[in-house]
Amino acid sequence: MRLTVKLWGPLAKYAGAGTAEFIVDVPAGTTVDALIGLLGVPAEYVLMAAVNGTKSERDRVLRDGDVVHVLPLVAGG
Amino acid sequence: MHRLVFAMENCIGCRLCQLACSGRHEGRFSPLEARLAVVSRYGRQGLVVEARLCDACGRCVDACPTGALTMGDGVPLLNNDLCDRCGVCAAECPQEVISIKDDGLPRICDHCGGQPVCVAWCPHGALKLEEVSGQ
Amino acid sequence: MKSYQGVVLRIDLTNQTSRREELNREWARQFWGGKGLGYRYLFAELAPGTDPLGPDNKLILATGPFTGTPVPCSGKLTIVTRSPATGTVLDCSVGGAIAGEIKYAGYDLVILEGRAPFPVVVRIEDDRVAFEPAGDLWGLGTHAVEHQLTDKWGAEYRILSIGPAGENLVPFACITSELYRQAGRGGVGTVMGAKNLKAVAVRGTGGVRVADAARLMDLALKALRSDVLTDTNLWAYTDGTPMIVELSQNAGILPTRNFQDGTFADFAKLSSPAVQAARMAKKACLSCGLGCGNYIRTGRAAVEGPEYETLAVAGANCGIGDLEAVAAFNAACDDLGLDTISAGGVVAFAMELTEKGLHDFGITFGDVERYLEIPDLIARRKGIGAELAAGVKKMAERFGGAEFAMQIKGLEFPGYEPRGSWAMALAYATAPRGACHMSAWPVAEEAYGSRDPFTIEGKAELVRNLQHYNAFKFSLSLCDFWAVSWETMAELLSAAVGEDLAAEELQLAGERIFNLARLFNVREGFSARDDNVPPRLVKDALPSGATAGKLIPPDRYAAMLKEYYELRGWTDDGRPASVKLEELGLAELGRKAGL
Repeated sequence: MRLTVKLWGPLAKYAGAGTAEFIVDVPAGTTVDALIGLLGVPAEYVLMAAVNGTKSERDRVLRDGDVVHVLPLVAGG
Repeated sequence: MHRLVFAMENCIGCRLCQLACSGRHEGRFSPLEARLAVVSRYGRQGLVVEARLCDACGRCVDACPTGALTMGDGVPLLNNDLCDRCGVCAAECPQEVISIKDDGLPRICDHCGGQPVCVAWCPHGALKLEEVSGQ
Repeated sequence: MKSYQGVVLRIDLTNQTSRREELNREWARQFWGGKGLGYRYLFAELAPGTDPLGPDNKLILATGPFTGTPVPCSGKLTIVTRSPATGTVLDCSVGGAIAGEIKYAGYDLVILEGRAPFPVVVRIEDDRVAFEPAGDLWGLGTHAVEHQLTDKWGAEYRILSIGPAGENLVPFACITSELYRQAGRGGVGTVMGAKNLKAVAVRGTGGVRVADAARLMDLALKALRSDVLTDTNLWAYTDGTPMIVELSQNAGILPTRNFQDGTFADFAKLSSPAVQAARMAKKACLSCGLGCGNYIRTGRAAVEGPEYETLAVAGANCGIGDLEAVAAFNAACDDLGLDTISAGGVVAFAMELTEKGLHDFGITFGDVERYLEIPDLIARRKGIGAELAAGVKKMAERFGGAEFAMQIKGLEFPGYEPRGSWAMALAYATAPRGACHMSAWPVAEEAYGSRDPFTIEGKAELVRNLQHYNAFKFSLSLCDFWAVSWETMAELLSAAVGEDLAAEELQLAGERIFNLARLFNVREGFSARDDNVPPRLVKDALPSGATAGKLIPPDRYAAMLKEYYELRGWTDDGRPASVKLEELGLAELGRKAGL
């Protein structure tokens, strides 16, 4: 299945696509966590994953066409 | 020879370079006692970012009346024993990065012996030590 | 202890005199600097019931042991006073480089007291203190003040100044430094205005000595390389706080239309990519390798910002999905000397009062042109600005709408919707200065992170621990954007002051500092009844996104607060119990607070 992905901030370097959205093809049944692993993003640097604009559980099974944003740790405010 | 170079677009104005320089050479932290100067401030026309570094122009060497200063690898070399503490080098420095210590000796950038602390501390690569061709 | 200058500069504005005093080293050893040491001096020097706008209130400018050193992210100045907005203790921090100048001038603290008989600027250059008449600057914005003073005295000066808002005693007037950095909250600028103090200009030519400079440099460089410039902190450099717009939108906690919603349809127009598209440069405070500041230029204004709080509270919360407009609002507030958070809060409240028909302010959600007129009206108390300048709490007393008056203890809400972050509700309610995001920031763990936001399980403990962490970190004047560990703080502090300090001792100091703020407030009559949240949070469910259908059931909030008091060793009415005060070395101060 095909997903649209965006890696935010310092995580952008992992997929080599910068901070722009990009397309990836992954096997059916891939979860958010598995996608993060496939992209080579260290899980400990991920604060939030959002699917289609809403914060998602990490064990959520993704569907074809989903837009997944992966956001880094932040501090303060 | 080696020269310090500054890439303005990478400078965020933190002045860690100045703090590290003074810490290394003076044992205390004081931007005005650093052997380089970085300015990052908002003027009427917006953000101003500037750096003043020893660029080995040699004016201090030429002006030194006692021969205490000679030109080394991209920076002047100071021989403390020959220095008569006249302060002419500081007055002549067009970059205004030579200042005078309490004991009268000048603060001269020495590239920290080849591994400048200002470069090591610069967080985003605005300062670099580069090999340049020339005499 | 090394790394302190050992000197407090006391400035008497009434008589235009100043004197140097020895730093109370016993207090420095217990409260360290910044927030904590400022609290300790304020507690000792203010009689209970001191009028925040009277000459007896004090304005304490506090540096810390790391100020002026290359310890990363140590450039912040803390300003401590009694708040005219809330009546509580108030500490407020500002970045830039002025903290360094104060320390290089030879001072750990500067205490401003009294009231000048006419407008003045206090000029400090090392041991010279001058009182310059400021009649010609009165009425000017902070930007003109800074330009004129640096033209006259030199660009090396760093300046704290107020605009018309502070002069006109608007209770949420801020102090501006370096044009775009603000000590924003609770009316620190109002206190300056009440003292006829237009600006403080400082230049220091000295230095800071620490116990072991070589070791501190080794540790600080290691920290910079392996703990600051890392994937865990570099968001501040790549994006800065506008990235939090994205997190809050996804989590459903982006305050929208006066906290009527937790998501905003136009959020993308305020989010980090929009700010980056307008960005000219990154700008850091003294000693910070992160450089969170985004200097941007849009069609309407050039500004360093807007920061998340402004984008959220003065953007989405006012229904304004227009970066140019928020940037212009931000620049106007900086220049006029208004806190953008409270200013956004009063505008949003006026919009909802109008929408609900309780009072017609002639301003509606999303009305950009009218919105942009308001900062000037508030700062000069003209037109509807005269009403808005009262702040949300007093507006509600006059016009109604207490159910949706988003304030605690008189301080307007920052940019996090607590119905999607239950610990944040507790953090706001128990923050010493009222609804404040700087006492603890649990949204990172729950709303944005992996902990369930919609439960009270473990939240009292989470908030308590974060409050101790921030209380201590801000007493070292470290920036909240560096997620530094207790162990690293202990290591750096040990090298700076020349003692062998363990993390546990620092944690106890954090608890001591937090409790001292509570003692100050108890002495002023605050108690459990002031630790409540606005009715909207416990009555109205949110309509959309990750928080759709969520509110905080009132019994859950009450249970969370009760658990928090128990965990803290406080009584049911929110007073630190004597056993706790004894444990923290605060027993004597507790007696002075009437406990």
